[in-house]
Amino acid sequence: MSLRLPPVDGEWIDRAQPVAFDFEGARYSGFAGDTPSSALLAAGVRLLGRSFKYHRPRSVLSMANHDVNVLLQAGQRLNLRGDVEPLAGGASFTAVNTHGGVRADRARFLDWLSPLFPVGFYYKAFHRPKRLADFWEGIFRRLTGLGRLDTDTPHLRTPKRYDFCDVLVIGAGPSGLAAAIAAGEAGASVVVVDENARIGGSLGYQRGGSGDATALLEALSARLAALPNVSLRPGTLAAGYYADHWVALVDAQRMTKLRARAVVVAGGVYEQPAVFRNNDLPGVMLASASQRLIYRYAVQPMRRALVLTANADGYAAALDLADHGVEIAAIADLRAEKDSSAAAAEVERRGVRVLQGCTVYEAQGGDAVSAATVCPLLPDGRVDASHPLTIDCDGIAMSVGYAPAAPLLYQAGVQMRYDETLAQFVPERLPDGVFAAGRVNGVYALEQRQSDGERAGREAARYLGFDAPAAAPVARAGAGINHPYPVFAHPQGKNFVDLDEDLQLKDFENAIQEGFDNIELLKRYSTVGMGPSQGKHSNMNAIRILARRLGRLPGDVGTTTARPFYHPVPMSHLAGRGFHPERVTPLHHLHEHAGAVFMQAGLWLRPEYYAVPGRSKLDAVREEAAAVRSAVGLIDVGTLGKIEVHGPDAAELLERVYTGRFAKLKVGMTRYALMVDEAGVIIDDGVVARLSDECFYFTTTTTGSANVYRELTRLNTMWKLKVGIVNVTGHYGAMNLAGPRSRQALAGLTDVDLSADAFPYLGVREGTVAGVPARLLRVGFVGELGFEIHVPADGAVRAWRALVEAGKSHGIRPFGVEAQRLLRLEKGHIIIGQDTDGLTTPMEAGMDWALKLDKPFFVGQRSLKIVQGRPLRQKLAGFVFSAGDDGVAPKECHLVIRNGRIAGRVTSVAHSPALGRHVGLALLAPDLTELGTRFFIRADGGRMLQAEVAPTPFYDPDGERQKPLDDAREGGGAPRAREVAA
Amino acid sequence: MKLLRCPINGPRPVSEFQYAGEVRPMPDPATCPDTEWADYVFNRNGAPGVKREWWLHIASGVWFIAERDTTADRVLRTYLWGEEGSR
Amino acid sequence: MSALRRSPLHDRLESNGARFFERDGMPTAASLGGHDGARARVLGLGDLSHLPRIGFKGPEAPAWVQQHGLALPQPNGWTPLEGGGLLARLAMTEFFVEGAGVSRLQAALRARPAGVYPVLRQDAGLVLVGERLDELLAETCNVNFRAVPPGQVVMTLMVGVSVLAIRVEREAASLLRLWCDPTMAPYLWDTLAGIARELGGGPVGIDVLPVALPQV
Repeated sequence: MSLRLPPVDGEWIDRAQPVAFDFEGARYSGFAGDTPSSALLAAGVRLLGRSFKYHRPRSVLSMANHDVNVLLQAGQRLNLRGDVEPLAGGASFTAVNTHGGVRADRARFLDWLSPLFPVGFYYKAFHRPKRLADFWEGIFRRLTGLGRLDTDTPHLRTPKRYDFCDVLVIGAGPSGLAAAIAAGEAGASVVVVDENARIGGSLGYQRGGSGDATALLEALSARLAALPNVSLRPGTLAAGYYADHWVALVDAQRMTKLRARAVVVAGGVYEQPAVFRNNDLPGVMLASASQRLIYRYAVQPMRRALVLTANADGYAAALDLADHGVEIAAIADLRAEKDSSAAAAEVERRGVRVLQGCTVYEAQGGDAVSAATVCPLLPDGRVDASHPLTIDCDGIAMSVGYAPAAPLLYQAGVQMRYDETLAQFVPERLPDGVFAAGRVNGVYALEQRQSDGERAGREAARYLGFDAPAAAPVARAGAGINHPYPVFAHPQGKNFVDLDEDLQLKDFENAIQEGFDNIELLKRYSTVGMGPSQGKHSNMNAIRILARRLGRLPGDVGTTTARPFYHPVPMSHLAGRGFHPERVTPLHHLHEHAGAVFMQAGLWLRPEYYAVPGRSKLDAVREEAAAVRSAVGLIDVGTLGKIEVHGPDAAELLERVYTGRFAKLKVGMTRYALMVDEAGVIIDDGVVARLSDECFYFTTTTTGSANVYRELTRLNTMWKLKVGIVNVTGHYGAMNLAGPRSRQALAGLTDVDLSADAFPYLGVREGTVAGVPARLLRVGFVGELGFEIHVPADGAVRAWRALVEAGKSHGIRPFGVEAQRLLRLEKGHIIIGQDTDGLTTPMEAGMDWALKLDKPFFVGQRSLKIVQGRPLRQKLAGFVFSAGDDGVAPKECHLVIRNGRIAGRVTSVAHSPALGRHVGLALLAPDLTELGTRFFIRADGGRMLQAEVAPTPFYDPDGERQKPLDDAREGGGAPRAREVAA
Repeated sequence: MKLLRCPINGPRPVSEFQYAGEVRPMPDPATCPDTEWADYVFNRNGAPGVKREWWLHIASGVWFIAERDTTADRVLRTYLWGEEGSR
Repeated sequence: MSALRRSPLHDRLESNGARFFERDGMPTAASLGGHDGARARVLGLGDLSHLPRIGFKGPEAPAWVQQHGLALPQPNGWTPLEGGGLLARLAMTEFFVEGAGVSRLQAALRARPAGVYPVLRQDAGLVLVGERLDELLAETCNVNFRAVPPGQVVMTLMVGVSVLAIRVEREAASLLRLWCDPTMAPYLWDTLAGIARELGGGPVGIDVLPVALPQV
């Protein structure tokens, strides 16, 4: 039987667009503009869901997304709120949390077993005996949970937007619209958001049988239309308030991160349920829910109503019901005195039965309400159940009061206080730039809500410096709106406070009795307010119950923290686009074409090695290394940090930030540079090149470049030396040409004289390479004759290609990070952060030679002086395995064990092709570092491997290959590995 | 998201900045006792209150000082090093 | 292998089907095909890395600029240069020049004037034009460009990349000039191009960009 009403003025449905859908396997039809709940109610369906714990029959309570009685699943779309979800054609809905469908839910027997499930029972039961815990867990996982996740659901992402405005108004009811008009007329750019599909708020549905509200909405809308600087955004939720008026706005398409300069919260109130036995039966709903059903969806909410009220709004709702064919069986008014409003007078005029000083004590019915038990109230507020009155009805509309929709105010840092007369928490101290208006501010009469909105809008505009007239404060409402205690005990219970969590009144009493008598404890033990509605219809009653039990005021009991989000936000909106910055050198695509396998170094991508078809990675790396040792290799070192320092104080700056001396470094020479922090711990290293008296060019490690540059600029902010510090890391490309044939390969491409006399080891020269301006440095990280070539980034490709071309006849091969690490290890060169850690000092790393402690000052000097006088905790040493080792090697970070205790760890280890054995570096207890000392490393599986301390460099210990006297000597002779006693 | 006002670039979201610790005067490393030096190097002031902090605007490289009440997480003012006297 | 200079976006443009012509010593994508015009109207992304640019900074830099007969911009401001190009003042004492004035100033810098230090600028230079430019900015940048006065430069983070940005309002359409570190340019280009494509635009050759463009 259809409960769809004839067209209602202002209805949201479009009767020209029917929408077909399924619910629980049956076909129904609604209209565009309907929600699943409204369309199903219109079709006469009474049972729309099952509750979380007891699987009790449920239907609409708030019709406002303040409860989840109607929680639906449509295919892959989970946990749809039936009350507010736009009805989409072809959808196939089922109620969540049922076993066998909403009608025949097999789990509904749990309702009869409920005495076994007191509040917090799961904390106490089912964990012993432990072996059964998994069994119970399995049962609970099947019985509870909302919605069924389909793991094939596509991962959606919706790009977010940024937006800006002067004044954000949250809520488009009479107060919000008035605030927007006031701020807009003062010239501010205003954004108004409202989570509902249309603006107007309660003006749309709390009509009280009159046309006044509708007329007011039209008038406000007309004034807004004349303000182009006001943007109305219905269907947009303000999901959370963040620092400095940063508000997350969520609509169907995306999340918008709005920065406002002032915010007016006019978000209204949540109507609150009364607590009586079976107050959760289908047909028992908030009065405003019944009004929304009528005026938005043209649905007759019930045929014969009992209205339970404690304010004038209940009488207005009764008129709305009566005007749309609902028979009013009776009105039960909780108050002893008659209501004096015009609506009450009209109700009386129509001869509706009013039971003053009475409450609904129990709702009767099986799967839906069929009658109400009404009892009078004693002066102390308790129920007199001696002579109950049974009134037939198929719906109970509750209008006993409201609670402020204040979460965004709380997030903004508002201080609320409890107004005893109004029986509501109201804002007492608002943070700068945040304003509250309307019912959330405790203002209830319609005209006054408008004035309060206007006041808030003007204040917001004035706060921002716009010209707006001063606004007088508006008085808050008093008694007769929010009943202070609409909670009625019943010996058989099932009087629900939180319908999301199936919490009854006695659950609270039990929790309080067990000692959870503080609002934070009560919340967590009982789980009130922790369900999907986050306490919108339950927190206030919980506070009232606790307060009464403790004999205190709700204001003393306090509230719990309100956190974003106000309603759930789809993961797709939160995922957004996902930006993952990446850095590549100018040579990147050349490496791609050459078959490079890339690795990440911070944000950078670097070639780890160049893949060779048919060769394993290990072999490819070894071949690259062999090419460097025997012919010539080329590696992209463009990721190195590169910094220039210019000016009269350039040398002084370097003297202060590095451990070594640079003031007397000759123009045209380079020097290794070590950097420590204030504690004397090694943090970076590089090479400093002096290009002129007042110009130095130096490198840092790849991962250290940003930090070094930032720290230098910070220090000079204080020191004010006459220098210009320039970070050219990305603006220079760099490549290292290394190997005995490097000079020959390069000679034809450059105008720089590469002969040993003209360009000694550790020198730097400026010239061109393949026509590109270049800086050439003779450095020796990998231990062969080599030239590091730095060119402006846009010339790097040309230089690289020319080198590769020129090097062909010399057997040139590009090499990657893995080969470089192997080569430098053979030379015993350390890598900061691998062979050093967060505590390693230069003394521990064997780099005393890089320290000039007698300089006037450098960062970390004092600490090094202190530490120098102390015994070392650990020391870096080279080690080898015996010549006949079976090829099993430890890995980096494997521990050195002595007498069952940790005595160090491996920092680098690899098989050296040049030496034919494994070599490595380890941080060891100092007394283990004498040459020849044997020690044990615990490798995978607990296997103990014996190693022996050996001097470094392992390869070419005299460094002859880095600085050959002439380039006629091919390969510089066989490398002389130091003899080590077997 | 919090706004922070760079003295040169104006108010920007805090994600455009990097925090670099409280401004702490360095004792004279040539003369101070070891204990004072160690306290400077290793200890930090954890008490809540108004602190002067180093902040960097990443995109422009501007270093500045922010005076921040760490109890309320409110920035009272920002200025370039050496310019706290002005305004 | 011919050209001395190569844009950090060369390979991206090549895979977009660019026809290259050498300008200022750099192969430049004149056109990416027949859709350039339509795309540029909606939201076009172009590569202007070929334009010469330099930077310099130091306590004497503002005075030095004026000595060379140039009007000194406000801090974080920019002015157009005669003959095409722009002079931007970054914060208080750093400058960035693109276009016409570069070679003259570059020569003068080689004389190492006191208190003026050279800053090598190898930035990728991008340009965005079109009706839907504001939407792209709304998705990528948390600066309210509408509230930035004309003649201001903005240094900010865009999709995680430090950028220098100048917005120019034109009758036909507004455009945005962007500069970033060349090692971040491919990532920035990919990200902006992806968003531009979603909005109905995409990468374009520079021939199709507004006529007055090379001036700015």
